[in-house]
Amino acid sequence: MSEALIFNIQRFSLHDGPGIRTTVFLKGCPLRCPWCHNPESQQPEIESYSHRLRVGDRVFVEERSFGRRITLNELMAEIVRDLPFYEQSRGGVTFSGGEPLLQAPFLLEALAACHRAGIATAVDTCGCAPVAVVEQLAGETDLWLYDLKLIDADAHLRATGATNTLIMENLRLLAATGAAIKIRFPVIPGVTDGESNLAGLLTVLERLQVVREINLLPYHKVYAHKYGQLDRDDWSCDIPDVSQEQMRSLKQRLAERGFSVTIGG
Amino acid sequence: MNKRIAKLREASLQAINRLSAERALLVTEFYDSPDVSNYSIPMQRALCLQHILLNKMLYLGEGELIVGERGKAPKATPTYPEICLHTLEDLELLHTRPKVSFQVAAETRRAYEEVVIPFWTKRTQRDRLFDAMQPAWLAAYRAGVFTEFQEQRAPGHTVCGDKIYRQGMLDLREQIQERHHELKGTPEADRQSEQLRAMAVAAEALVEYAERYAELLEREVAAGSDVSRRSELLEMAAICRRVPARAPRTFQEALQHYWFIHVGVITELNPWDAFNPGRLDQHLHPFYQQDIATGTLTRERALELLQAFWIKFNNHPSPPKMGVTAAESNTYTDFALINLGGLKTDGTDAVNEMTFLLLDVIEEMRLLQPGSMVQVSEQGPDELVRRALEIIKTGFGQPSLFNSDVIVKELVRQGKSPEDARRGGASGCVESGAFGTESYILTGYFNLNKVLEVTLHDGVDPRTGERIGPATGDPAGLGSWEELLTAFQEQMNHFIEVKIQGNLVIEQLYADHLPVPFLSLLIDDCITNGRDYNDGGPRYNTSYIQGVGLGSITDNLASLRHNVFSEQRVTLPQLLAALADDFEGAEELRKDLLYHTPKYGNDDGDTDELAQRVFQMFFDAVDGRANNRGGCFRINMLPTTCHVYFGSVTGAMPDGRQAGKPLSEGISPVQGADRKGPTAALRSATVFNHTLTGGTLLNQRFSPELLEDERGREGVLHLVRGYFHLGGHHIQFNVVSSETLREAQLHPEQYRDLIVRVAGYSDYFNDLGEELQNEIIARTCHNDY
Repeated sequence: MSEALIFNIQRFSLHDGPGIRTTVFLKGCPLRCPWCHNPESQQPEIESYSHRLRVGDRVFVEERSFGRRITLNELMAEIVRDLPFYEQSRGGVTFSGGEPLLQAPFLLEALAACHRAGIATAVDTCGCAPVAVVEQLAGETDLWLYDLKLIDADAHLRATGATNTLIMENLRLLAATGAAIKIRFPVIPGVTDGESNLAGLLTVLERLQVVREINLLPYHKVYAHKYGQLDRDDWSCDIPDVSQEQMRSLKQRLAERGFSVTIGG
Repeated sequence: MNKRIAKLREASLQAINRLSAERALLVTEFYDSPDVSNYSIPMQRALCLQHILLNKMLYLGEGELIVGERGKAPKATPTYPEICLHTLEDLELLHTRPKVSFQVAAETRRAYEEVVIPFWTKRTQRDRLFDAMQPAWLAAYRAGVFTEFQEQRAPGHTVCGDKIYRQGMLDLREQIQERHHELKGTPEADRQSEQLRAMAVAAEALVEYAERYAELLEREVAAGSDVSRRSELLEMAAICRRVPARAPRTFQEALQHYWFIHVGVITELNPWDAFNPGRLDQHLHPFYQQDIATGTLTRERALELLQAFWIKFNNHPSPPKMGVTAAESNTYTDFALINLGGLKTDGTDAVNEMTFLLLDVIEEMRLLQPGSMVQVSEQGPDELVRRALEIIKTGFGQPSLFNSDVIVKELVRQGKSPEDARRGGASGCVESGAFGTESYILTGYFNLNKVLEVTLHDGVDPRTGERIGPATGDPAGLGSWEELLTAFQEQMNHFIEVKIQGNLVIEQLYADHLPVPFLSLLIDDCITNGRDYNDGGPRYNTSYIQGVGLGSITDNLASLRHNVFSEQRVTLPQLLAALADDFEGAEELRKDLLYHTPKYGNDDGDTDELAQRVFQMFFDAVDGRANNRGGCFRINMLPTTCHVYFGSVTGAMPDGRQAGKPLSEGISPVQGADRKGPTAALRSATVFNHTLTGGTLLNQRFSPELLEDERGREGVLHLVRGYFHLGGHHIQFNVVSSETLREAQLHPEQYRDLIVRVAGYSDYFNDLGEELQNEIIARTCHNDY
């Protein structure tokens, strides 16, 4: 029986693809983006943390874990519970992370199982995986939510710890096979919002031709507490929040180039 | 809204809720006259109504378009001493209590002291009722196992159908006369004849009341107001001479006609759930279409008239409630619930232009009363739900959303014809009914969790030490989980039996002492049957018991099963000792009960199955038991504010809830216990078959941001559709942030207009008790993720 390492299952997701969705967050990621909103998603292993519980005047401290193992059957049993809502809304399931492609064999089985149950699938990926993996998954993936962060390979390596060679190659591959793709672009002040990166992004997308939709994901500091829970100090606390004004003007700029743009997934 | 409406609306909002002794004095004057005893009781009631309507002061507000007021002025609220007599201490309490107060003027107090109290002491329906109850009933009532709706208010719970738009009072009188001729000389015929004569008098009384208004309006014209108002007044006078005597012919006549009838019902007695035009979009649409086609009405004028009509409802607070009645339903709202959308009698989609026009009115008026709801059928347009959500997101809790298809199934299961069922809808909070043909009387709330508490103490109420239920065994000796459930079921059956026996007596008291000939005119087939509304006259006669605290009872049972029987984390005596001490010194145990114990609302099959079992026990104990009116007892699942009262009389419980705290409301999860999002909560809430009830209530809280963008609203639209597809009866949304609510608690003076959804109705946040305010804040706030 295949098992996956996940860190969350989120029902009633409205921003990870169309309709009402269940988002399955798989644990483990090849990148180390310092702005990551889900730092607990990065390590491909179960991590423990201390959780404080208040009961009346007393505070209890409990050991809890980020991450748990789940079998395909257990996962599907939970996913199918919201079938009536997927049907009403033309929603489905989104596999996110972490990086779901790191657990490709399980992911492929899960995607196929969803399709057998009549449930539409989406994969939210950073694209940093062997080309063969992407090719293999493409047949069972109805929608790719594809993250693009930095177009310049060196800048990408510096910021995330990995080059974007595979990312770009996989994106071209998917575009060439006619897959449905939505680009997700995190707007990280001082990192991804520079002029040359934006120009590069537009060039890449226009060359692909098939990509029409872009989600702009604004950076928020509100996730900072998660780093504390993990005893990590690598959170980039010097990044300011993005202003709504900046998001609006970016949206407009991309929309003027003919893209359908939404803020926040 | 135009200036006139803005002024009328402001006047309604600013009017102070006050008690008026006018009705009490007129009723006393009537009953104090020596001739009264010459009449049968139905005739006494009809003549009493006539006496009130012929003598009460008429009110005409500046710029009013619809006339008729129950009191002397907006929010001047009458009392009903023939049902329940307020003492001077009661009046003082009403005058001074911080929430839902009624100003009591010195002259009102004097009238009570000198006239009303001396006459009615020991002669009220409430006296008869409590005198007639058995010790077992009184013990359970005092302990807070159940409440009794009819102790301070008359049976009501019905909604006007469509016949008044075809028949006026004089047409009904003619029908009565025909029916009279058909009666033969049997004892039953004598009784029927008396009922019919009383109905005829009541019909005439309302016509006479309208004529008084016609005269008043004509006098106003003669007194010379400005020219534009003069023609308006003349038109209104002509309308009052037409309706309610005969059926309305125009849009404006239809509104005035209904309103006179509304005033008639709420003047005759104080029926629980005022009265209600029901399917208003269906009733008004033909008049609107016709008047627009003939050019005698514009959309703007129709809006103005509807807004004026809305304000009329807001002028009429619920008559004051005291004691347990106040605790179970403390609000100025009198539960008129306008139904929009739904199905036509032939089963096709009923949504029309008037549906959307009325939604515009609801949005713009933003008034506490009347309440409003949208009936969503599978075939109804998404556009309707979208429009409703746009209004819901403004955060005053209206309209709520109902599943037409399930309402029809519920009513048909109970034996109504599909056509009568499709003419129906929901009233009050969430109660299904066949409008115009059914008396569906709510008899009181039932405290499911108190029953468990008593079970855990072998039939004794631990709060008082009094034995109130059968000895079902020392819980420490109960060897298994199933034995515990059996004991719980035995206690439940006992208290349901006690409640039903009480209700059979109470129904008879109302049939014998307080018939309602006027209301009987309106609900079929009272005239044909020659029987009163309170005596089985209607085509359908249902009695309901409302279960409260399904989420809490499920969590309590789940905790007992999990912690005592399966995991054996704690023994039952240890747990009971911790409950007795309200978890003092047992915080670690309480932590496990709160955080490491399965909870209802998370789509967890094993736990939700317990909700289903308790529901089935409650259903089996109640459903199908005969009432005195030719119908049956049924269940529904709604709390109004009773989950707070029931919580206040229930000690600490195995789910970790501390003594006295509110229980869960409706079929919603315990406040804050649903951690897996709204779809999971909705799956839990449909683990039992809603069609077996006459209504269930589900509350969901969303942060305002969710409904801000279209994507969020579409998500909620599909959430509602999905819930209804799963068989859910009703869902309502509170869309106010916790921060706003906390601010409002701290600075009530700055949030006087903040309206929130409570339970099947909306209320001013400021008028809610602190416990209830906290309870609403504690409800899990679902966001999207």
